[in-house]
Amino acid sequence: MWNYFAPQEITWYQWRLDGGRAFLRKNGEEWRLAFIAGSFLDLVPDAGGPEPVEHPGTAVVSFAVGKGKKVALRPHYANKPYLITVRNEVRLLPRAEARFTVALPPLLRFELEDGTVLAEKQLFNLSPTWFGDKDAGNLCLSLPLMLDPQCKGEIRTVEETDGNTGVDTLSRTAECKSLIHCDLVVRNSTKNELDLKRLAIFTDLMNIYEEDGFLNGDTVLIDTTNDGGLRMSIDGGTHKNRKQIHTGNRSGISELLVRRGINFLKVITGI
Amino acid sequence: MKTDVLFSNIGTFFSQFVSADFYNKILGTSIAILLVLVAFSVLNRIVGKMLTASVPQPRAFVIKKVIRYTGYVVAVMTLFNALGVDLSALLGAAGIAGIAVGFAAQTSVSNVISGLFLISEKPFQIGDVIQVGDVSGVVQSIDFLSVKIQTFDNRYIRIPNETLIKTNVINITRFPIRRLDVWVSVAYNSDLERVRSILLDVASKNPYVLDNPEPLIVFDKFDASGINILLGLWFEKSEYLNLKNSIMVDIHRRFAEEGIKISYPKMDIYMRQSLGKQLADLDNRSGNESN
Repeated sequence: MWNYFAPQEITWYQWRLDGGRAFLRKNGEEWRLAFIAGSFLDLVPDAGGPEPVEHPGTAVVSFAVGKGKKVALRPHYANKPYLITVRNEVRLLPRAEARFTVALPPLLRFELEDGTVLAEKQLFNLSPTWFGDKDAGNLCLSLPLMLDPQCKGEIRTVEETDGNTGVDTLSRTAECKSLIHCDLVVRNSTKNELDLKRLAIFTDLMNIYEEDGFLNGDTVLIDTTNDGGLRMSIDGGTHKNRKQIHTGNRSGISELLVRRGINFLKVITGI
Repeated sequence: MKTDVLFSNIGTFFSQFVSADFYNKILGTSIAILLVLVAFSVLNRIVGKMLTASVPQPRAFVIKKVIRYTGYVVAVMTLFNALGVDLSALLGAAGIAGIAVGFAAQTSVSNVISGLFLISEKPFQIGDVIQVGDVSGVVQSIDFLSVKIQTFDNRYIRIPNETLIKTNVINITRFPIRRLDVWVSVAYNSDLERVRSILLDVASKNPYVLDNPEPLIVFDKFDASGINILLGLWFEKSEYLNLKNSIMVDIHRRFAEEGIKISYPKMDIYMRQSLGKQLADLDNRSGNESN
């Protein structure tokens, strides 16, 4: 689904994206491209393509002109951070650890083999939200889900939850091949309780891997520090043996923290 | 006799132009002035490069101007010193002239000083959108005497710095997010809880409304024609027009679909008849009854 291929001339191709759709047609140096973003809450696990179709229906078509033989639909992280909300509030006791599994809608790009981008579109229209104070912060994309933590020693997780908001959607996202699945681990290393409400995922350094058509991102580790701050890092070893189809910035984690400034550390969990 | 003295003085005056000392003095003075100007020019460049990274552009501009003009003053004083001009007398005369000029130029001086305060206080920067009185626009430059703004209908307005110091200046784009307050008035027989949920739903579906900070709903007061409701919507500052236009359409359309009446000021008028006409009506009525 994410591999480069040489499309036949004047033939529309469609990618099914779990509720969204992407279309492409090549005619010499003319490329016609279209997207239907879809709604995150209405997603249906059904992904595949490219497959020939008659026409893109009501999708708005855009044009690109240029030479190219092979093209692919490639997933990337969104241009803005993702914001996820924890259901009600989760209190992490000292030395406790909570894991959250999240499926992130990617930014989809039609790319030629040399990396030229023909068109791009965010899969699923996500609401903008503000993460930070009224005089400083980040514009983020809000996922309309309330997440439950997965904790050590749990016997059953999703199946046994009591009809919480978004759980049905959450269980469906696990089967979606167009979403980027990644884990967040929040570790409270201090002697104080930590209340979690909202988590922002900054994806600058994260890679995307593919296996059996499923997309996986690096695991995000968030550690509290003794001085009340937070430290975010990426665990790149989880999917090391899988095929990498998106590479994050090569700069080290320290550069991410310096670039954001100290306010980033204090507000990453919205506390 | 007097003619001889005059001719003698003229001869003495012109004789200095043929002496080597005179030309040595000229050369020395020229070199000194040149060195002063070059030194201050180099200093200006060095300071300019140092300030680029650490100081805002308007302040750096002022500092460089001060250095340049100081260089000119030092060069002029060097020239006067070389020519043997008594600076104390000159300074005395300048002081008196300064008092006269000061009275005449007090507005300009006030603007310059106000400009320095504006640069140090930084209530706004180049590129910010500000509102001063009934004028609003994008700040193009912050200069010694005035601030120039470009209005949204592409007019150029020059605002004296003194005006900015004395009046309220609203910096519309200082913070990254803003709140748009939409006032809605609904009829008295409306279900307010239903109105609240509809407004929140409209806000959640608008692509420009941030879901955090959450939209604000305040039932304000029982007004003459209906109940006033404040809907406060947060948005990223560049999306003002997009939000304002789209949300009005969304609310109006949704209220129409849901059958919620937007109240407007109205007045019921009862026409009072004249006494003669009332009596005539009574007569007619009683006449009809007897028949």
